[in-house]
Amino acid sequence: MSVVPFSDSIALVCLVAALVVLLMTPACARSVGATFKYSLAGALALLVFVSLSNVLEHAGITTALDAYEDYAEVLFVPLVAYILLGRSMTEQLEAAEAAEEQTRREHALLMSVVDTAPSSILVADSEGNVWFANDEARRYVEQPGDDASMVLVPGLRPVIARAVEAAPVRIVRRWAMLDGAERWFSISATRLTSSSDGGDHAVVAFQDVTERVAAEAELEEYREELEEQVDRRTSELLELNRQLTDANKTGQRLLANVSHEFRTPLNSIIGFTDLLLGETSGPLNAEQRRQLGFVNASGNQLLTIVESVLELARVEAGRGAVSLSVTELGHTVRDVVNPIGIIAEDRGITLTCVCEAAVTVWADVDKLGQIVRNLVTNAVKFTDPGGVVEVRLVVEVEEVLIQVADNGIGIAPEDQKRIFEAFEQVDRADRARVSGAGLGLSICRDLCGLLGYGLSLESEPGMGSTFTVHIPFEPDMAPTLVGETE
Amino acid sequence: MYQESEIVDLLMVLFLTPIMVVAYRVVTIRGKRWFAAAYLMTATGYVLTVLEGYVAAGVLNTLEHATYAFAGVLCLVGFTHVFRAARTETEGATL
Repeated sequence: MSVVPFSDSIALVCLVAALVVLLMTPACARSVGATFKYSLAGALALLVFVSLSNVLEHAGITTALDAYEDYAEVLFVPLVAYILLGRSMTEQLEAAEAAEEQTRREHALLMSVVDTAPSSILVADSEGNVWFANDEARRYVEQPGDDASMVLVPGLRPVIARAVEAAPVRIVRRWAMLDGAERWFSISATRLTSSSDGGDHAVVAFQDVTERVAAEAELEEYREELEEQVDRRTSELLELNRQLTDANKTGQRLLANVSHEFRTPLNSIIGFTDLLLGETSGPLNAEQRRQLGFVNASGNQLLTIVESVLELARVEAGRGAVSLSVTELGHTVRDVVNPIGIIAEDRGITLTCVCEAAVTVWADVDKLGQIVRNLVTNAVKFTDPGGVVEVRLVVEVEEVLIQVADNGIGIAPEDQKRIFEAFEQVDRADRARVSGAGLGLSICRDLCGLLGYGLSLESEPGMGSTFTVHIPFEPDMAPTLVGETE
Repeated sequence: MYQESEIVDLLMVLFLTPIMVVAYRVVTIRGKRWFAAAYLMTATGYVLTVLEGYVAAGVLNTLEHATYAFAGVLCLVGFTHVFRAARTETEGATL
């Protein structure tokens, strides 16, 4: 059995079905246009006709269509070629139209941007012909009163020539304008490579910066003037500082000299009153003893002040030579605290020394002793009878702390910095009872500075005060127990 | 032996097919590969028609009609694709 009729039948059925599908396809712009659709239907109809002719012929029904079959076959290929070419041309035309429209829109957008730009933008050739200028640039290149013809500012011509021949240009220049006025402009120019007639065009952007240049010049003048003023004032301040330093040194020298001169007669006064009170020159009555006691006490008080002044003068003059030695801190502190304990006991104050933590450090024993003595004496002085003063030795990782804590009157926050200054004391009602020149803490501060120690204060009014001396360990001086040192 | 019309068909195929290949690469028809295959089947049928006049008449004739059947099937598939694309586009435009 031949498969030819079967093949023809399949071809006919499929082609008819395809024709039906095509005719049912909605004609729309992109997928299938009406022209394309009906052209295709024509080509398909030719194949349907050929298939139908074959089916009828092989089925033995009729060969009447066979005579026309050849025409249909001859027509089919050119028709398909025509449809395909037509379709491709249509699509290319549509694409070109879309591209043109897109270009037009982008050109309009670009022109809007360029025209609204605050900078002047123009395209010109090296001959000085202006080919394009945005709205801002027209202010500078348009001939006044003329029919919109544009003339290049003379100063721009060499800039354009340079941009065309060499690299892009970025400069600030002063130009004479078309009306003769001179103005400063910041200019950027670069060769326009896409120009159609040889590429001797340049696109130039420029901005009037006359005000800015003037402001910069003014600013520069101000700066120079200010520098001169600062130099002059600095010289004056340095001179003033030198005069103040000289005056301060003179004052210190005077104070030290006066104090030194006081010490000799004071020692005589104290010595002779001691002799008189010892009744080596004969017996004294009660009134004489009382009055001589006042003289002796006042003399001692004055001598203490004089010595404090001399010590302060020595420290501030840098004459306090530091003599370091390996010192067992607990021992040093106890040696200082113990004698003061007698005075504290007389005043009804409990003075304790918690210095069990025996550590050795490099220290100047005399100066460290004086620091501790001043702090403890101060604490005893400003603590009411019945109060407690405690001296503690605390070992921390990088330093040893000597703390002198009392439950005395305390110090207000606003006074805590001031009391370390010379001749400053906290104001209190019973000041008359508390003797001193206000030099103890000042000496402590200066000695700590000299030895490289820190000195801090924690205090609240009515809650007592804690002064802490911070003694750092030397890098090669780890804290050691005395027993270990041995 | 061959008929004159068959030679004309063959010449048409030989001259126009290269042009159609160029156009085929440009156009953006949905399912265009199916149509290209259908066209090639038809063109092959044209060639076989001429050849069967010289050799293996029976076999080549059978093959010729088979190519037409294949071309019909491929056309149907191709137009189904076009139909779906157009309908989708129309519905999208309506929405």
